Amino acid sequence: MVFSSLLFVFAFLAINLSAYFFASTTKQKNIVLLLCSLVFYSWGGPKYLLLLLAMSFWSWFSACRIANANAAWKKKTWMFLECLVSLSLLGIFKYTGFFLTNLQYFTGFPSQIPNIVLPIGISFYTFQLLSYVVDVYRGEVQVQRAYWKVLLYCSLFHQCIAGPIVRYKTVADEIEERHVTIHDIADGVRRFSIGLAKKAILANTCASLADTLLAADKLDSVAIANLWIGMLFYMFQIYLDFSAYSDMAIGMGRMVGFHYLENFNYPYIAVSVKDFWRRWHISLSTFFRDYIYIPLGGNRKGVLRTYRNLFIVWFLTGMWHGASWNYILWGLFYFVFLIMERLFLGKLLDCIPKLFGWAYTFIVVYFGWILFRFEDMGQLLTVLKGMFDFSGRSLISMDTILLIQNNCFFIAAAVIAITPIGKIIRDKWYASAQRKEQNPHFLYMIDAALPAVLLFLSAIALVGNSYNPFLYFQF
Amino acid sequence: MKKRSYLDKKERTSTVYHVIQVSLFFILLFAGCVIGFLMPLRPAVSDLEKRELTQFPTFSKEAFIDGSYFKQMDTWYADTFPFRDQLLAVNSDIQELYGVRGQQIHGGGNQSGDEIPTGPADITPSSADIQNPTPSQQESTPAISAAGEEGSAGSENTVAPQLHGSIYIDGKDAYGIYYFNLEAANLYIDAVNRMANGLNGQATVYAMMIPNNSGILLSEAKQKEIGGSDQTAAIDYYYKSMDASVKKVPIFDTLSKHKQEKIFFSTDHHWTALGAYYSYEQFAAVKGIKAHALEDYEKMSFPNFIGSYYSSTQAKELKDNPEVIDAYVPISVNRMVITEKDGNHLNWPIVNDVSSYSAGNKYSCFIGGDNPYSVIDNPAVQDGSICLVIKESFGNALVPFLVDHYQKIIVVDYRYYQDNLIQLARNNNVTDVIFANNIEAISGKQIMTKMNALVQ
Repeated sequence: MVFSSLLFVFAFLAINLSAYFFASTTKQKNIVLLLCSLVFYSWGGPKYLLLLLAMSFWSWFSACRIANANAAWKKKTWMFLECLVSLSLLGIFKYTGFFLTNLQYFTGFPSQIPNIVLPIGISFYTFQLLSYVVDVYRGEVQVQRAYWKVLLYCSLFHQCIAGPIVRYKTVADEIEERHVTIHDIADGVRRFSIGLAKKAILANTCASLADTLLAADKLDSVAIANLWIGMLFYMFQIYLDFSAYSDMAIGMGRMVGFHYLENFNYPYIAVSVKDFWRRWHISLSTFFRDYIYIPLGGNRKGVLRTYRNLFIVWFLTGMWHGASWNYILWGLFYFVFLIMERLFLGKLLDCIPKLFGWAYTFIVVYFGWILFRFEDMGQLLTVLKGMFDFSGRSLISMDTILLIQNNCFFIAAAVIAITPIGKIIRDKWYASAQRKEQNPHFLYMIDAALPAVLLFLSAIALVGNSYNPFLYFQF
Repeated sequence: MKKRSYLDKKERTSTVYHVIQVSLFFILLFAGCVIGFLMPLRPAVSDLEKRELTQFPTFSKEAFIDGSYFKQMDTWYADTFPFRDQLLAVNSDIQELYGVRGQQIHGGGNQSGDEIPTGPADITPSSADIQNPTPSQQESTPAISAAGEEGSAGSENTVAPQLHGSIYIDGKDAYGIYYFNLEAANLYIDAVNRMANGLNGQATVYAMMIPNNSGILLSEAKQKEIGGSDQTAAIDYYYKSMDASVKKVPIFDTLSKHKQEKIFFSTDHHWTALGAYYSYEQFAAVKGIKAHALEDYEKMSFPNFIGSYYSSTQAKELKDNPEVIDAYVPISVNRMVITEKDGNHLNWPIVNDVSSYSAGNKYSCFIGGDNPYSVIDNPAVQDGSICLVIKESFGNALVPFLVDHYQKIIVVDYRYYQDNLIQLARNNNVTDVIFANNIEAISGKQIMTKMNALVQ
């Protein structure tokens, strides 16, 4: 099930929330959440539920062992076993095909590559479990003795299959005890409906525009503008899509009293690549920072070690996104720019107007998404060459002009949704009312109507929408 | 003190608004939930999209384990959501606001046709290399059973929607963009040639290549701009590649001459009966018979037709400009016997009153829509002339004009017919075979493979 499906919104979520609000104690509420989460996860194929149950059991068990151990070496051994088992399972399910394909390419062995289906959300929940066990090992969080609560933490349908990667310590207390006020529910409802509309209306439309312009079988002949504009729509799509999922997760959390951390902070207004990665998929970059980069020594062990560490982090970041070379290239592409910013570019960006920094970052990220989109190296090269093939291709075609004309207001709306303009206006409005000690009734009214209106618009967009792929499912 | 009272008031006010906000959201959410569970409200067919909606999945252990059971349940739930067609209509109204929508291109876009060879096709007739064709109708969406049709008589026939490549809309007029497909063309040509060879000495084979409306109505520059293939060149290729014994009915220039008249629809991919009439005149000239004058026929008119271009694009401009379908009743007889896909036989009017049909279904006024096999016996002619028409839906509008010239007409829709056509023609002592086909409809490789297999 995906969040942006009618079945999820009108059947699953509605039933889940009713049951939740009828449950009286936190324990009952947790049971409701757990059962719903297990049903939700099974929806993608019940056999992988076993894997989820087993992996969370193993992590729960390891964490308990670590907490019980009285000697450092015992803790270390259990920590090692936890990493070994979790990462092996992730590796087997996610990277076997990739590894064997490459092996076959170089050695001709094996002749047959098994087709392993990627269990939904494995990349996300493996990381959540790992962060939990590591935090127990480091003594940063109390061990959780109840298995079902660890299972609840990692299987919680809000974030289990597409992030954000919630740390156990963020929700440890709230799993035990949490309260909601009408303001929390209102915030959650608002956030969820914004996310739903972002996905159902904006991201899906951007996706279909991008796919129209970048149709795989026409890449070698389409006009230059198709490629440029198509990639721009893809750039919009990927942010709107993924951040929408996080919005919905955060919103649903808020409705029931969980406070997940923000995962995106308007990444496309970043003024350097470093800045971009502080704003994009924050829960992933902080995971790599806290559990890989800093343990490897971070930047404290000399320049060469720092570069090596960065290389490892960005190689892994790329690889995490998908079992294909283009993702690894994409990770290393950022590695190169981050190194350059460390060496000289960062200082330069500090002394020139921010607008240049933004333009530079936007272009880097834009080309990054080209690497990201095309798993097929042939297609990737075709597109990159085609974008500058001024002699061989026409500049723009009639359908592209019409497509932009037909969607000009939509595009403007998407651009606004990508920037913090809306948020700034709303914040200023509230602040000014507060200064004047008034109640901004008009704004309150807009806020009150917004979630219902967005829910309605999203629902009708979803009714006719057979086109609804969730990008981050493959990760 | 003042500050304190402001904060209290603010808290109270925002609480009130938040209660309203949360209530509105949950009322809508739970209303959606309840409506979603009202099974009888769920539609089984979409009139708007002309298709059967996804059915509730049947349970199987495998489908359960691999998740496809649930996946289909997902699709079923969204696809058959109550009030689907109304919600879709609202959605398309909203999408009108996305931009300036005077001209639009729908579907695919950015496609391109194959290059059209300048010489004739180099294919040996009756080649045995296509022994195991897979007769599949996937390329053309099968006709829905028009369960939504009012009245019992109307529930029997529909015109199969054709898979549209791309549609160009300019104001309230829609045009089909044509893409030439070489492989499909060669399969088609091969089928026609085999037919001619197979019936050598018994029957005359005629071929009428029917252009898309864009080829006739749009300027060449415009056609190039929207990216379609050159239709004259394509038709030229078809005709040039056919055997000398095949009689070609050149209708392109005829239609061009009449392009100021209503020879094509604006909301539908078909031609009108008038377009078919001019082509029939051309056919009569080639065959050497005298065509009837248009005034000789009784004319029936059916207003409020909104055709396939609307169901494909859901463009508001098309919905707001319904058209009139004119039909001309054959002079000598208006009854025919239809064999439906399920084998049922129907005695049906050749031109039928479709006033009560839904807006999208009125083109089935001609010969009962698309059926695998139909026979028209004309008692007014007793010269043993028997004609076999091989058609897709474009032929429907042509057949009524042919009726008065033959003792018997057999109409075959190659998309649904399953038996050997040469055999059929031989068994029935057919004297004329007419291939009346729209060049876009015969541009699918899969469906042409099927057609080719019928002419072995």
